[in-house]
Amino acid sequence: MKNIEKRKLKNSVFKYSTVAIAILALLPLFFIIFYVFRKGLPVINWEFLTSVPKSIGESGGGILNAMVGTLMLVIIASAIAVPIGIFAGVLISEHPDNIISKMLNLSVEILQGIPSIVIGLIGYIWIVRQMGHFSALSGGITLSIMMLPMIIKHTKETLELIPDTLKESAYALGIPYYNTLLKVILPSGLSGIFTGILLGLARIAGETAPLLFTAFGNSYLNVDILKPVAALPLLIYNYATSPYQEWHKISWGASCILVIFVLTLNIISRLVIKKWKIKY
Amino acid sequence: MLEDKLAEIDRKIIKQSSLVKEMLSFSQKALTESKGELYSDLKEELEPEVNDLELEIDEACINLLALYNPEASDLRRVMAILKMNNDIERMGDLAVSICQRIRDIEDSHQIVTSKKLREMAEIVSDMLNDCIDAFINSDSEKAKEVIKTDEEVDQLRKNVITDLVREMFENPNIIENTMQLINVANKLERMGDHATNISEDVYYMVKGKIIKHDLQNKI
Amino acid sequence: MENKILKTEGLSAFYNENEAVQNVSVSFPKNEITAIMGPSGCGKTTFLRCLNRMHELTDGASIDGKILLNGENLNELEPIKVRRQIGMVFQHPNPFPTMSIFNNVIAGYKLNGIDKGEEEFRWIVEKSLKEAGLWEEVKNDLHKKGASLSGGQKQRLCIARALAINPEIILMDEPTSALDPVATKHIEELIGNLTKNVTVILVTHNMSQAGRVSDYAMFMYLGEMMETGNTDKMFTNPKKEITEKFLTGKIG
Repeated sequence: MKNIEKRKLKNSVFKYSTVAIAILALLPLFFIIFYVFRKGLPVINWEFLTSVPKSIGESGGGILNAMVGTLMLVIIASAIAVPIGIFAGVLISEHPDNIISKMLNLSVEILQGIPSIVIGLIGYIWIVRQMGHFSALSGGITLSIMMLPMIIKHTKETLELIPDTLKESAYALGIPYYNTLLKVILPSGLSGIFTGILLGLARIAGETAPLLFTAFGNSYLNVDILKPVAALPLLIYNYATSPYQEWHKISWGASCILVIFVLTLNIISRLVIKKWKIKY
Repeated sequence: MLEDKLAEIDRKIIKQSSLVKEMLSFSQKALTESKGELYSDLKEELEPEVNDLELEIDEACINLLALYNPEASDLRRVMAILKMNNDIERMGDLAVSICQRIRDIEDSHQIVTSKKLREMAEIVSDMLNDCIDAFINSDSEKAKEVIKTDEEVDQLRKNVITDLVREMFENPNIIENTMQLINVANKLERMGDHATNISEDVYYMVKGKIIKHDLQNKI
Repeated sequence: MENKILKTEGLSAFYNENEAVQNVSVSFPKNEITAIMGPSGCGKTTFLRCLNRMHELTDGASIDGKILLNGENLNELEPIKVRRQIGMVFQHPNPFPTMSIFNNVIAGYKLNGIDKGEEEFRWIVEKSLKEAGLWEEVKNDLHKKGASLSGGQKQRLCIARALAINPEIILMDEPTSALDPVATKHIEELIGNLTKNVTVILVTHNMSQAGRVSDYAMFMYLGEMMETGNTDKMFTNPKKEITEKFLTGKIG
């Protein structure tokens, strides 16, 4: 075969095998989503979304408490992680040579690698034990620890991309540092920071292990943060491992809801990047 | 910017040329009316101004070249002006000199006129007007016409001198004055040459082609 | 005799131990355009940034000597006050990306918490954009974000933004280096028209630009100020040999 024919063949083989492997990598994702939807969608109806689980043996019931619980946990976690995370991210990007920044950087890397169940145990010992009982608060705090690295990282990386000249033009107008930070730098980095928050949310929404020791779960609807609370992942875990068919169905429905929630967050974050991202 | 500076130099050179046109018309009057006293008017008022302008135009052109790096047609324009500056100033000097010659003739209380001389002066005056018009209007055709006219001037000079020499033979008393008139004829011919130079520079400015020294072939 | 608005006396600038600007004493004529030129690395940008106290923002930076604005020593004033009297335009056009064109122009007021009222702001915006030669192109799009403009337009917007707070002096650090020739020409023309109200000090490594644009020129080499004078004199007949070498392209 001539040289050029050989090269053309190599090119095609490479191209097609790359495509094939990519499809192979995507298959599990599609299968999962497809299967979850197939099993879960039929279960979802108005009653499902608005009522609490019925006792064993009774049919019907829903996952309202789990959804509300997940919402509470997510809100508590965000309320803690977002301000702290943004603050830390700003600190690291503005003063990278500070010893605190260096320590923060290291901590973030380490934190990301700690298994979620270990964090859950820590939450148990530090919070649940002190409080004397399980609660939504302890669950929220534990989840916030898991959310932090994502937010800090995204904030830091977005702010680092902002060119120094932008800051300098603000200083050159006689604008003091804090105004520059609040009104020029942070607004410019908003898309990246927002993305970090959304992705952090998507991550913790599905975490089960930490909640086992902190939020604990609740068969009833509860909005008191000092009491144990249900959560979608917990419900899925409990019901899927139970022997009841009814409960299996419910856990598929809950899985479907969870997957939809996470997918939506991911899609929104992509749209946010597209719309709000600032090119310099 | 560059355009403003070029416009400023244009104004100066046009002013300079109109001063010299006036000086030339004074010389023509001196010839026609035998009034050499106009000479002092020229010397005192107009000539210093023309000389000042020559220095100003030189400096302005050099500064423009140093600061603005003109190219192509702008560059040719500046170069043309730099050279024209020279020729126009010389024409002024020649006009002054002509008046001086006429005054010297008057002092001897003899009036000698020559129709052909006045004709020469008329043609040279037209040449000056035309070549400056050619510059103002970037008219290369007009510039060519002026260049062609130089031949006429040269021919006229020969005729004038032939006539004047004959007069000298016929009347030895007027030799000195006649020599002055021959001088005037020579000066007028030189003025024609300067006008021709200006036209060649204008042609180069407009067309980018040099047409000096080889008239018949290039035009 | 020209009025000198800004003077430096023995100004030296350091990055830690490195003396980037050595003992410079010069004066800048009021309401004229002064160009500071020199080869890369000669210290001209460092020098410029001393004049509005931006140099000290760099880690390890320090200065020695005096800078006098209308006789007042700038080092004794608050940096923020200094920067409101001496504005700056940078090499890369950088309007604030999250703000509209309108808000960009008045950013110097808004971000400092100064509220002059809607009507006066509108007047300031129109005046500044006109001075920067941008008004006609954007007058119907003032609410659009600054990022939607071309490079040359962005730079003119930055100039309008600097002009809006009425500084006495505007410093320009290679304002056209990042722009195409047409945009460069626009900006050179508008710089010429600014001197009615401000004094312009411009750093450029492009000596043709210094020749075209400036009335007064300064040549810096290896941190030292070698020669200063009227631009036309310096370009036709420089006093020092080193200046001659620079102008004829033998160094830098």
